[in-house]
Amino acid sequence: MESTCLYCEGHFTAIRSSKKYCSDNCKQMAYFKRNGLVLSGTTEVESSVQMPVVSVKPSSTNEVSVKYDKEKDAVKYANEELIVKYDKDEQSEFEFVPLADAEEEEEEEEEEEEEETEIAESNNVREIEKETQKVEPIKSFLNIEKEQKDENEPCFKWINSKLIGLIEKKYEQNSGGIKTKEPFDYWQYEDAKRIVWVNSRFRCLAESLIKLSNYSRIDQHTLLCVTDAFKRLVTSATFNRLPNDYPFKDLIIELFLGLNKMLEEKGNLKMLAFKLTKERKAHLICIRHQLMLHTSEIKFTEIDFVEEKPHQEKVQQFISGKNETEKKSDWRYRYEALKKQGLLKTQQQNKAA
Amino acid sequence: MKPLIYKTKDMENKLIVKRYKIPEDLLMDILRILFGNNIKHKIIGMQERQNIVLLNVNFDLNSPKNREAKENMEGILTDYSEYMKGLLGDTVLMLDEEDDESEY
Repeated sequence: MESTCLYCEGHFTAIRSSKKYCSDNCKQMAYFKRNGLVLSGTTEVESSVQMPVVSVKPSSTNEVSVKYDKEKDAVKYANEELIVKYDKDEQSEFEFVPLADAEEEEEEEEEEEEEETEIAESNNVREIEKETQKVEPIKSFLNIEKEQKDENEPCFKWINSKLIGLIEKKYEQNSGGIKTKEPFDYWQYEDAKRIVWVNSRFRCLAESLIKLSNYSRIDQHTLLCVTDAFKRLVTSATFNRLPNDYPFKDLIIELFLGLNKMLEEKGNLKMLAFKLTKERKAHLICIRHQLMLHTSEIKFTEIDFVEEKPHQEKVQQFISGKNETEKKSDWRYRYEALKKQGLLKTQQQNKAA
Repeated sequence: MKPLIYKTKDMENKLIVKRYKIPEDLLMDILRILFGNNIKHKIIGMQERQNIVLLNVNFDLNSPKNREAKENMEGILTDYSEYMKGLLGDTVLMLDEEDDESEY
């Protein structure tokens, strides 16, 4: 049944009476046309909707016979012999060209291809330019917006902690100094030994005070224990024999007096808030941090205030043998005891022997 | 009506929640950072005995201000941890969101 395509107005043989288009292409293009779709590279809707796939078509299709010659890639279409040209990538779309014009067509095509590539290149350049023209204003707008945002957003103000600032200030003031780190380099042996003894205890007590100040409340017994520990430290003979330039002596006494006063005032309370001023806390943290690296750690539960006896006293004890708990292997006491008893031979006597 | 904000996966990754334990000594400093920079936060608990507050803070790392605030906060907490080394016991001041705190 012969019919006319509604899109390309070409005649075609239809099996169904209702068939409107000669091919799927025409059907698709008609759909695009109806919906006002513009294909790329075209400006108008209607003129763009033409996509001739078959360039040569017989005027009448009554006595058309098509024979495809594989070797020649040619098709005998009615009275004309056509070569089949197809795109290598898309082999489904064929184009029929008469054989006589094939060579000319090829040459023309090559020229066209060259032109097309040039046009395409120029089109691409134009498209890129167009795109950049489209994008650039947006970009610049975004940049402006970003700049404005940055300008509007105030700079971040770095905040320093007051406590940490105070600790650092104490460090700068060098409270304690290098002397406490290396007591044996700055004081005499006996003095340095006393300083080490006091330092290790003071470290423990300072740690206790810092910990207690972090608690919301402490019980009376804890305060009593800490005050007692300070009292024992302050009243110890070792503490009283400390050299005058020992840096923490005044601070320890001050802390003891403060704790004692607190105990007198709030001793009747079972639970009480124990707070240190920021200044005092920073000072204690600074001292504790300095002592931490150079002083042995003692737990508060294990702290003792058993003092080392003076040198002469120890020697006397060794002679009389009163103190059995004293380490007999301590060569210094043994040496001095032997010397005092006249039992030690001199070097000359040794040589003579 | 609020404008819709589309976030890419990359942006989403930069929205983080960090959990901090803030001791009483630093609480005011940390709150100054949070309020001063409009950083979303939530107090989720407190350790009453040790005067420690457990805080969840939402940082948008796309924002330079948020990034700096985070650095500021963590710097303060790191310094404090260094000075208080050994005195805080097992308390870790900076935690991830997933870390559990059963004490609170």
